[in-house]
Amino acid sequence: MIRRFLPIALSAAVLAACSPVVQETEPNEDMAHASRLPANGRAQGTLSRPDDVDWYKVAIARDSGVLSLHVGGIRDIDFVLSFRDHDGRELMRVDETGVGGDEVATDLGVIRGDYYVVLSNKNPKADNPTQKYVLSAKLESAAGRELKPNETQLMASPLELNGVTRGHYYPISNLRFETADQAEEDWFAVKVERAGAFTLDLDLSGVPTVDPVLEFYDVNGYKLKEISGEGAGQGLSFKDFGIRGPAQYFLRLRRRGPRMGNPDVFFELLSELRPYEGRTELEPNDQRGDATPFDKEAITGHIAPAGDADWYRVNAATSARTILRADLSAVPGLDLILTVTDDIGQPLQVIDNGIKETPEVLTGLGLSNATCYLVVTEKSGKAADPRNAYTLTKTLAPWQPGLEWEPNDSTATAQAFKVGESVDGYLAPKGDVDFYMFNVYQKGDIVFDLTGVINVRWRAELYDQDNKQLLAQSAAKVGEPLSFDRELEPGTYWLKLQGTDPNLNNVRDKYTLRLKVR
Amino acid sequence: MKRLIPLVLAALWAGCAAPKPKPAAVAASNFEFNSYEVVGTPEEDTLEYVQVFVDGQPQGRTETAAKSRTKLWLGQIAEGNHPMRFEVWDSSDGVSGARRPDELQPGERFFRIEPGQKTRVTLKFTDAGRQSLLYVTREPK
Repeated sequence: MIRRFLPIALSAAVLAACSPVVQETEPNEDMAHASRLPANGRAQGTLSRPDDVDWYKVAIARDSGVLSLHVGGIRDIDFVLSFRDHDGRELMRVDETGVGGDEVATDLGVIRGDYYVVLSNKNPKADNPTQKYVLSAKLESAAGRELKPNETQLMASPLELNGVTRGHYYPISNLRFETADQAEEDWFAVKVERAGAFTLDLDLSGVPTVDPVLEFYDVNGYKLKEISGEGAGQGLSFKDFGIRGPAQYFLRLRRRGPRMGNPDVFFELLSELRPYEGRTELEPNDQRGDATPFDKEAITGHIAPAGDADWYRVNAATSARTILRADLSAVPGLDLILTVTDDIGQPLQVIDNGIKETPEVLTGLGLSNATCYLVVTEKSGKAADPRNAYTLTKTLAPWQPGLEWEPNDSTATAQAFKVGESVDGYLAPKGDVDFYMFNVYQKGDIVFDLTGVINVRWRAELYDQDNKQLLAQSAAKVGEPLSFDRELEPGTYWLKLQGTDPNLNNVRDKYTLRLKVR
Repeated sequence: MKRLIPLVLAALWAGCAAPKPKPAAVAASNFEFNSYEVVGTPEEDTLEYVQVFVDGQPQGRTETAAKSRTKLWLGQIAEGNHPMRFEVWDSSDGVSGARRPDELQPGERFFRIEPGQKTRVTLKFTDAGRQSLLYVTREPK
């Protein structure tokens, strides 16, 4: 306990050396008879009986400020420190320690006018009428400071945009709350008055013994996002919160565990509001309806908090057949997954080729609809270090004859092509299967040529139009080409290409399939 | 006059409920083609018809109807394996037609006409006509 209040005691000692000291004037047991407490000064007094109450009036002579109060503990007395407005309404009550303990109230937001401090005792057996207590007050600038009471959305302190807002996780309990745990929490208002799209980045410093949780709310009180730290003493960071100005949002800063608080160490909430340039994700984008528009070639994002899913909307903006290719960079410690969905969110392809810390590649997907979505998630549900962003790049290119058209993973979606032609495609992502459909108009010996691809051992199966398997061939080993022929009657046929092992695939090198008549 | 109303209604009902004579083509057909589209909104549900090609030759066409309605063509096709193609035409006024571009047309493929069986081919379009699926079923005639 001594160590805990040492910095405050030292500050009080410094304050004592250069600030005025006044003595209480009994009787001061009600508002009308309150003794004076200088806004930057000290008062001395005694509690003559266990039920003695001492009122002090603090006159604030500036437009705004932040007031801190400290009363040093004395023998037998269990102080309760109450802070009240000019009407005597209680703004804060602090009772964090027992008999002989100090009480501290921090970050009290004040404006010009009178406030009251009420000291009382909770120990009915107190018997220390002569020892003087010292009650200290310190008034500072309100710039960049939390302004208590701010324990509800309605009472939220303004957040210093593009700057630092400092405050304390203190008191531990809010005695004015009627909830069972009475856990203290701090609300901040994020007000953007300019019109336009912005991104907000937040960095919250770590405070010893406190495990913070930061929540984002809109004006309707809907929770948009929740970010947790990684344990007591750790800070947290959140990037790319999307804001369409003018708008107002709210941050709720609470503690994950019970009895967490720290009157000595500031938390610092650093915010950076930037005009949105389309190069970063706009959180929250955790579902299709909130997807970030992905119009430029590349966009960056963060997997945060743990379990985060980032949705991006891709508009091909053309009626022509278009092939979408996407590259997702690796992030230290994470195993990212890239999913492509159609315009109503149905998955078309899940790209999970690489292991942890390797990039993912969508080799090419034919867009039959003008809108699709790219979704970035993490396999184990981990959160990324906020310093490590991923980069998602995309290209939209017109489809040309001779190129594979994914999805072609079933006979129903088989890609049609003609004997005598060739097609270039990828056997990717992991587990990919490519179906091709062709017609034979005259009986003949059809030759199938498939080039070798690194990391792929080919398996090819041929089916007739009644879904009867006519043959199955495999390459001798990984990376080798595959060639075979078969005499075919007129009809429609399907050729199924895959790897002998679903893990064998190649996102880098295309294969070429040729069919000819011998 | 009021007494006549039930009689008129009964006569109308009888006219509607009476079995219609089967067209000769229905009785003789061994091939049935159905086509319809999945549309997103009523505004997209415009008129269309489908032309049927067998062995590269036009054989007929379905009626002109809204995309979402099943359109039918019945035919008598020689037994054997035949390449067939189904061309979709949009019809803004129900009379004229505009052929859709090649990339929106389903590809040609073979269908086997078995002796003593009726082959039914259903063509279904989705994704604003960009995706097409063909289903084949057979039943005894």
